[in-house]
Amino acid sequence: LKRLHFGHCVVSVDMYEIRKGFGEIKEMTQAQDQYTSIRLLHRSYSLPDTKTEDRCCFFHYLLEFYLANVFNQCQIYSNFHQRRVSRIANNFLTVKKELNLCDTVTTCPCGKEAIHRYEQILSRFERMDSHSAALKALGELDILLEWIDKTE
Amino acid sequence: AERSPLIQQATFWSTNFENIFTWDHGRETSPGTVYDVQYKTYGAVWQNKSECQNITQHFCNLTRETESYTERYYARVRAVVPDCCVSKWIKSLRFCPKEDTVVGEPEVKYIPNIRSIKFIIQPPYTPLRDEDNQTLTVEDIFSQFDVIRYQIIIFCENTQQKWKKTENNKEFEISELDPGTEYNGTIHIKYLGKISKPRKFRVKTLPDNLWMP
Repeated sequence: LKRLHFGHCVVSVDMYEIRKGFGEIKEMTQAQDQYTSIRLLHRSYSLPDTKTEDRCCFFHYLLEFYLANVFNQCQIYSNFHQRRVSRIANNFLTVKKELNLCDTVTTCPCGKEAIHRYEQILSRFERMDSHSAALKALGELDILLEWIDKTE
Repeated sequence: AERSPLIQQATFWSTNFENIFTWDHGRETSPGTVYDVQYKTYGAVWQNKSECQNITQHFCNLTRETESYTERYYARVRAVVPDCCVSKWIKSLRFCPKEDTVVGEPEVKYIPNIRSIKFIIQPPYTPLRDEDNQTLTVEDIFSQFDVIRYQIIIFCENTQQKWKKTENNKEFEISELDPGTEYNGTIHIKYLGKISKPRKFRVKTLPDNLWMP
């Protein structure tokens, strides 16, 4: 488990389970991503480099983004892969519930930086057709996990 | 017209962060076929690998171009058959050196004593260097992300005894062995939930000359 500390709020992320699930969909998602000149989770606006006070909000946005725009948008035809995506999605739901238990108003203030960074991701996402964009975001889960890993 | 002399299995082969882009030619290669290679950082644009334009071999060393080991990369290759045609670009899967490199077997020094053997492990070197231009080992790199461990499996054919130990240090001693006895086994490096290639060894403890029959 990776514990993320946002003020007095602690959120646990089951990195092992998510990584395991991603390891089994990685090749499928990344091989189908034909837009290799587009990267959604760009290192110039990564989570670990976000100002401490904005990190919780940005993290919250990322969770919402994946839950709302990625996991349910992906048309994945194989049951094998669909089950892995569902398992990852459930993991994200658990993290989101934990985060919501924190008093997000005080714990997760949304400053300009968090909003700007999230808008960067969303604007790139929305420039693509929804299926390709969702597939790309899914194939970038390893980047998101790396961000979470690096976030102190 | 574009006829595609088939290129297959365009992929990165990486050991100890030496990153080689390789490909197979599907059918008999027409004489004079040459290959062009390009590479990119994921999210950026394609670039020619200058040393791998119009080449006849089926590999291209992209170690220098993929030095940032947490970055993600692609490479692609096309075949050019003189007076005929140019194939499509055949792309690799997304490649992340830190995730995809394989760690080779470590070097090991053994110092046998009468009832113990001391092991001194040297993790493989990589082509990468630090700011002081010192060559980095795989341990230098992976220890930034995880605890590196050394797993030793040691076996005695005489007694059919077998030990398996995991150590955090590169120097450790296995004791309570029998004098003048041969032991063999393997040593692996464990990193990021993965395991390196095994270093096999065969060592004999020193005889106990003090022992009087």
